[in-house]
Amino acid sequence: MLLYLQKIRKGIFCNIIIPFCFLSNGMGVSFMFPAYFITKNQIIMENDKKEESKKTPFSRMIMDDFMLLMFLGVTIYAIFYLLWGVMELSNLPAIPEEIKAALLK
Amino acid sequence: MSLYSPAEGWFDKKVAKDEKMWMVIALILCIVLFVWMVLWHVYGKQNPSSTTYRTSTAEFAKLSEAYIKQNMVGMDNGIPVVRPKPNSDVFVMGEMWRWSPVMVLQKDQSYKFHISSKDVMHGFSIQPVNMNFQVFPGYDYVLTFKPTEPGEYKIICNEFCGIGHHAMIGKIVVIEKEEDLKLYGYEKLKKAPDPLPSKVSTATMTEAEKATAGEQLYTLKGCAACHKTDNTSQLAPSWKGLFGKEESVMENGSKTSVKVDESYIKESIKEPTKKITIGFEKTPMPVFPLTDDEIDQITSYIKTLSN
Amino acid sequence: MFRTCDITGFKVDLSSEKLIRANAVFAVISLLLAVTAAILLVFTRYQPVHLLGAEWYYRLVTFHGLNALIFWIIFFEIAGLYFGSTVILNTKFCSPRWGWIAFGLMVAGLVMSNVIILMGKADVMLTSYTPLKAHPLYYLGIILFAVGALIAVTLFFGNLMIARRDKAYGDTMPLFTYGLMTAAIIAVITLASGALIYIPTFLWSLGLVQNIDPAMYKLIWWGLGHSSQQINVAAMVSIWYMVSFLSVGGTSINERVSRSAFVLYILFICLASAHHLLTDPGVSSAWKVWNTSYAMYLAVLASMIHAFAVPSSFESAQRRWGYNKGLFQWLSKAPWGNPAFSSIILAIIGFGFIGGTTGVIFGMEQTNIIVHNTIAIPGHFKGTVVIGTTLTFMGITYYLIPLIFRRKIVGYGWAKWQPWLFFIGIALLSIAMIVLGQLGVPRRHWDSSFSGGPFTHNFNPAVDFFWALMMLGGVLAFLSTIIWILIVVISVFFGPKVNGPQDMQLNISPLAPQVKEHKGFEAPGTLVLTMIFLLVFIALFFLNWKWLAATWNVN
Repeated sequence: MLLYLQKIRKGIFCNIIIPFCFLSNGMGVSFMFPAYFITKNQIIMENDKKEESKKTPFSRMIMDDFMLLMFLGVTIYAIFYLLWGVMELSNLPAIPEEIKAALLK
Repeated sequence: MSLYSPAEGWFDKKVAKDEKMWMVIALILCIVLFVWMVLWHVYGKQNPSSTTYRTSTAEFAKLSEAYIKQNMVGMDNGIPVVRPKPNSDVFVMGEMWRWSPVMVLQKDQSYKFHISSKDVMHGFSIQPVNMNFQVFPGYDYVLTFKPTEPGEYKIICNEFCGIGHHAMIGKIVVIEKEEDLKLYGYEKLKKAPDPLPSKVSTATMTEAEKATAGEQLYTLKGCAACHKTDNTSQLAPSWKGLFGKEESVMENGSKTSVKVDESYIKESIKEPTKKITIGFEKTPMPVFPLTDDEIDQITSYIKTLSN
Repeated sequence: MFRTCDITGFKVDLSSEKLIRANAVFAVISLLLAVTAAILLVFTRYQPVHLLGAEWYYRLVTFHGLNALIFWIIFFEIAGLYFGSTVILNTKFCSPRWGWIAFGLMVAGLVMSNVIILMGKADVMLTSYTPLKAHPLYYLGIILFAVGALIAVTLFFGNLMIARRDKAYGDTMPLFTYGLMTAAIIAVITLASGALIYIPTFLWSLGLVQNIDPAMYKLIWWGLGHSSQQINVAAMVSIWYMVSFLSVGGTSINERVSRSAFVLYILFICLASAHHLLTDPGVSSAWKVWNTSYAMYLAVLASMIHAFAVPSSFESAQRRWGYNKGLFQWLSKAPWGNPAFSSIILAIIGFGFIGGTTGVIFGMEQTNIIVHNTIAIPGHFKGTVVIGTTLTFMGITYYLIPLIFRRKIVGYGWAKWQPWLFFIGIALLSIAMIVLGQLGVPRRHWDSSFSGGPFTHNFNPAVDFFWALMMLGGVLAFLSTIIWILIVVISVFFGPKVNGPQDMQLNISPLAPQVKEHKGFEAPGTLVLTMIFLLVFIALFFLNWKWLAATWNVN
């Protein structure tokens, strides 16, 4: 019985972590997309001969635009590291009353 | 070229076979590393916890003291010893410069540690098993430990916390069976904690009772962290032979001499920086909130430590 | 006002050159301060000597950290940023006046903070975790330095914009400058985080702010603290490409790949500051895992891309020069007598095998438990910022003395050996510290015998051997750094002038011959080396996870 309960507890953890990972994978893929686009797709599509187009490829435009890169770098860092971290630190609960009561009775 | 603009057609240049191969291997490695960390949370037995409670140094100090009062079964070198029940909450306090209490744990049992600091950041480092966690004031870090090997372990501090940082060392003893207590000199530990005479007023206590109470306060309140009773005095004057001594102190920048009596001890606790003993200027004593009764009991204890 | 370099052909703005020189000089001064403290610290932790008392030990740990990790590195990088945005782009410096203002602020900051530390009013470590409080002038000094650095970084971007407007570099800037741009963007993130944390902390030290929450402080501080080291990674890799070009006429075998790797750095590398909070309360495991993995290891992917791209730039060029026999003739017949070349190759090896492997493994959420705050951590970062970045900076200086300071290198014979001595010293120091840390020895700790404490602890007896090894490594590293500083100072101030290409002691190679089309593997030797690296990484990985599994259970 205990083992089963422990499994459920682990399952709850699983249910938080794994879906989050899928979510983050999704987000990650959308970030990886430019990286993929630049490295993998170009490698795979190398045999497709594209004629010299007047406008530069999208990924090259991003690569050359350092102000855009700065904006993206600062934003990704600010959201995932700073904002998310600060939000978590601001939302911590207090020590549960039962624990305090057991000691201070 | 590294120092010149790249050659024509650099953007469309084919990636070499070996570079491509390496990049695929690297990408696979990266994904494996990420998934590994996630899966260890499910299948692994060592994970930093996600349970933290907000607290305050005052609140946690109160809880820690209450915990020790409730569970103390003895003393080791001035630090109270507790023997928590499995699956119970254990309150561990780090302060400049000691860890308390000393814990006696059972192998293969889980204990819910609540770890916090009374003052600055400390580093909770269990050796030799080498597990290391950060301890914050104002945050109760809840970590559930399950010792897997019996033995004597030390908690060292590995986050800089002031000049006495290296002297901050605690102890955890893990036993398998009752006889193991002998290995650590703990066979005399009481089964149940002794109720402290905290509700009894000093006026009705005998001198001997006051001294015993004072000795318990000596460990409980943290005096033992700096004031030793074995004649060593690295951080603060030793209490052995202290009562009645003529001490050289600095008062208002000039050197003077004072006799250690009841009123001087009281002043030292209430206004520790008024007179600083020569030789200990670098380690000023913090203010400890003690009642007059408690100061009285401590004084009685110090009296019993004369040569 | 320009001069056209008679050795390289680049157009050098004279006002830029003066600024480059000034920043470089102060970089060397900072290094001298840092390394002097370092040797005293080595002999203190080496307890048979136990040189300093507790107070001065902790003081000099703070001093060493600030001068080595912040002042030495950033002064040098500012010099590099100016170099990469003006000399390499043949363009003028956008505002020399602001360049000197930035320089003045940085020098003022250096002096202020160092004096306050030595006066004993800032014994808080470089990290200055609250509630530890230093004198307000300590924080102010760092703020001034950071403001100066931020101005300098802005000037770098200003230079880039002028160059772009004047079409000084055609369509795409050179790879070296691209890497420096990466470094500069990370610097913006770094310095913005620095302002965010140091200004309130400064006000708190003055008594104007009530309280600085320690968990918030640590979170934001490491946004400055670790990102500042990622600037180093980007700058260091850029210099690797530069030395490939100068020493063997090589360049990245695929510019798009190398540049993409730099883009991944920009986007994700700063997230990894989270690896300093892995064993902290407060932040959740989800936050820790996402951020410490640099977003699923994308930035690590970038490093691994450079790990192939940089050595292959050497190999490809060498093969085109004709050194095509077997797997490694390109390496054995490489210009090892060129101190810049040897510095860079040693830096690549050291950074990869010592710093990089331990960095990724220690930075995983759970394995961090067995190394957090042990001396393995400084051991790791000596394997990155010292054997990697510092050795790289030392190496490129051997080219900059004749090219920017226009002096011959005095003691060139010594210069050839100095990188090897430094490499061996730091490798010993770093590896010894890592082993000591895995045996549980704490960092920033004055006394391994815990004198004055209620109990004592005896570490595994093997520590004695590794302490001795650490001491030996420290001595070698100290001596080789002093040799480097002497070479640099004597050459720059007293060396014979360089009057043309005939005075160059280090060879500047012409561009390696081009080939039309390349079939098969372009850099097989590099592939073998990276595979070896992979095997070492996997071995260390499993070792650490095995050690973790042997500890108590915790969750």
